Amino acid sequence: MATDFFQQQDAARGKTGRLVVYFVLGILILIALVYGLLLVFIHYGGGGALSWWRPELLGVVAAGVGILVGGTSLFKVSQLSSGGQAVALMMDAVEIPVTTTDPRQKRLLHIVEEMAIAAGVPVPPVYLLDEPGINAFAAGYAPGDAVVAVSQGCLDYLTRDELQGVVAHEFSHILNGDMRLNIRLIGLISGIMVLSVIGRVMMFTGGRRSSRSGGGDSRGGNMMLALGLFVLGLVGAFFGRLIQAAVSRQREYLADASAVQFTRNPDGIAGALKKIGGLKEGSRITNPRAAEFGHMFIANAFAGRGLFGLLATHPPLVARIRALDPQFDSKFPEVLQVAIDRQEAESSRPSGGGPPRLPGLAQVPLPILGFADGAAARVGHIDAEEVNHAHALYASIPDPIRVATQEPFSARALIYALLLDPRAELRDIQLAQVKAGATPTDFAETVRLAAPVQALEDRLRLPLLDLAMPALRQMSPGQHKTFRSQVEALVNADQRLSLFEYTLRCVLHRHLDAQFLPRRSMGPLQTSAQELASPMAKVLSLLAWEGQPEPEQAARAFDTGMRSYIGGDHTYRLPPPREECSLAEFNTALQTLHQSVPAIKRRIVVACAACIGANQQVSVREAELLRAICDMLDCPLPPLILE
Amino acid sequence: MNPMNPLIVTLLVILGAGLLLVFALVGIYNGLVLARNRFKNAFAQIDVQLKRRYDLIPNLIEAVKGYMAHERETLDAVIKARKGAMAAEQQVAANPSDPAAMKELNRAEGQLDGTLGRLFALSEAYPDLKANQNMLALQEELSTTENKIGFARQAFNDSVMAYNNRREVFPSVMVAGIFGFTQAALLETAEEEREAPKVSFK
Repeated sequence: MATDFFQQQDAARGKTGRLVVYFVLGILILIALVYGLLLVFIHYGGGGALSWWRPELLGVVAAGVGILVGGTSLFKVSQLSSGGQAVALMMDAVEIPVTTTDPRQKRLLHIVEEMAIAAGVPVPPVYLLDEPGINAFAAGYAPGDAVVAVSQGCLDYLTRDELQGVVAHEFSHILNGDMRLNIRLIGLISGIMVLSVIGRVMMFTGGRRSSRSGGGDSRGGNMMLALGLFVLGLVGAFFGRLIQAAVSRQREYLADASAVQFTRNPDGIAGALKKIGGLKEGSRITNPRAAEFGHMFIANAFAGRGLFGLLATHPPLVARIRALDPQFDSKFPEVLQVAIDRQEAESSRPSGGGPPRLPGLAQVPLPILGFADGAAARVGHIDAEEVNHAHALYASIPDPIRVATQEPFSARALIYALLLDPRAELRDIQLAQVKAGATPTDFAETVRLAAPVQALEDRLRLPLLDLAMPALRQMSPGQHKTFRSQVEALVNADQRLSLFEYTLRCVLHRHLDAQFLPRRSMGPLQTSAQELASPMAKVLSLLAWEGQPEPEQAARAFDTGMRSYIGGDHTYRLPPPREECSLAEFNTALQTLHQSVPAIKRRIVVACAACIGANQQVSVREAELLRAICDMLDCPLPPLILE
Repeated sequence: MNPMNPLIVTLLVILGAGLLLVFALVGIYNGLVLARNRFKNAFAQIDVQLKRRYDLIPNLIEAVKGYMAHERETLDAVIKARKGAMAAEQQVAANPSDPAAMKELNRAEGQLDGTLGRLFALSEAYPDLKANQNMLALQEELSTTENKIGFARQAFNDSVMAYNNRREVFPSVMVAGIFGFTQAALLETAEEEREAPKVSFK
């Protein structure tokens, strides 16, 4: 549990790698078994002497099984990879509008918003499953396109602390890279299952046809082949499920433990699990479409039936609760609907939370010796401190602005206002741009929000972007296109846009494009730190110039960062002059860096932090810039609590 | 060559083709479900704003009542239109893919917009009312809400259009027919609303 985000990500990737090995093994075994089955079938059907070696038959079987299983798996994975929203919508989940007036829904949204701000990821859309049981799941491919879905039962029966535990559990799946693993698991299982489906279809049609034609030897043979395939498919699926269960159960324990770490409150998630045990409906999900998503849920979505109890996607409830609460006596409480305090729902204060820690108390050790490593250690990690801090951040956002994040009409104007440069002459050019490009109502809204946004502290800007994300995702693809070109026009109004504003724009595009534009094919994964030195130098040079205008100081900051990245001497002596560092190059460089393995990402984060901290002081703007860069790398960094 | 081989090869080819067909069907079906759920989801967004507007109207009536006592007829018309729109909105919220319910909502919303427009037009004649702070705040709130509704409606209609288009093209149209994916209706702007004066009291 003490391992950091990058190790977790590596572990998840390692698990995926092992899965592929299992999978290939499974296909090979299946090929051998189908081959054997066909040999017996040929022999039985009077195909002459039984010969064990028929290369051409083996070839055909290998091709057939490979195409079938591999094809189905790929098809399934590609379907599920279209993002978390697709999964949620497939299960008939309905997105909870951010402007909802239902107090229970509002409470849930507040919890998710806090958790997201605390983790430094965009607020995921929250979906509601119309199910009376208590269950929840997270889906998506990366933190940026994740969704969280909870059942109606969660809202009805869980207290705020318990609900927070459940949400924290789901965030752990999001941050630990479990969702990608889940999608591959689903693909694998359905690939293997396809054999049994075909066997069943053959039994059905074969049986019918031969009953008409009178039957005979061939009928028996066909039936045997069909039955054989059916059984093989089931056996394959059995082993598939075993792998799945083994992988998935471990991740559940990890997520439970992380939920405690995130909230520092073992009673939350433990209480929720106890209520699942005590509730008549338990964690049951009745929607048949949910069948293949079983292991994505927080607890068993289907009643354990006989043999399949062995193959449960989750560890037994009692064992999970005991891991959190050793005193648990296996007696589940009676579960009643919880009342909701309207006041609490409105104010978004937790019932039992301590006073939020003030930003004045430095959590990152200053002076900056440990800053770089400290920042890397905090990536993808939440603790109760950060949730409280997120609380305080959330509370310090002025009301008109917070309201504006809640629906797409004003959220767009808010983004326009956020991208306005602090320098007045630049801002005027940008405003003229909005006036020319947007509708009069949009322009009026932007102007209305410009003043309060300008007065906003820097530390609130990135959280604000994260908060506005659910509303912005509500746009239709056509609306997004207009919005995107508006944003580009704002950024290009003058090429001298500040690095911070420019990075906000990059973060925005990265998250929204994931939803609205077709997924770009990923380049090859970079495993060599040396090869990435050149994009790294581009990023560091802009960072160095951002922190200090003096060339000597900038050179020193650049050198510190570069040394940290390479781990010794490097050939990039000096950063290029400020004028030669283009913002577009910065973006391209970050996108290249994004393609690296977790271990390298860790070095990138450390190097950026080292460069920023080279002059022994970190401004809020720099810290937020670091967070934005981490976000671009898919390494969510919680808000830094700085002096 | 083994005599079984051509048979097995044929079998495999049929299997492969069958598999592709199944994939295609599943893909089309899932795509339709996805598109339908997407626009249903988009309606939830407008729904909140529509309700917000319905909630504002009684306050508006309350604010103008004292000044416009002898415009009873107009006030009653607004109240009645609001009631009708609320009933229609509930119908649609229950099932946004029902075109009949959507038509009714379009009609009721049009009526509400029309009566509200008349109310605002009449209120021009009352200088005291125009200066009333409460009234100004309400008008501001109403027009903001209308802006939000307008934007959300555009998003909703885009997703309905995407669904309808997807539904109508070959071969989806066959799958849509079998599984009962019916044409969905747009939430249209009534003519009255376009003419309704944008509540300005300058």
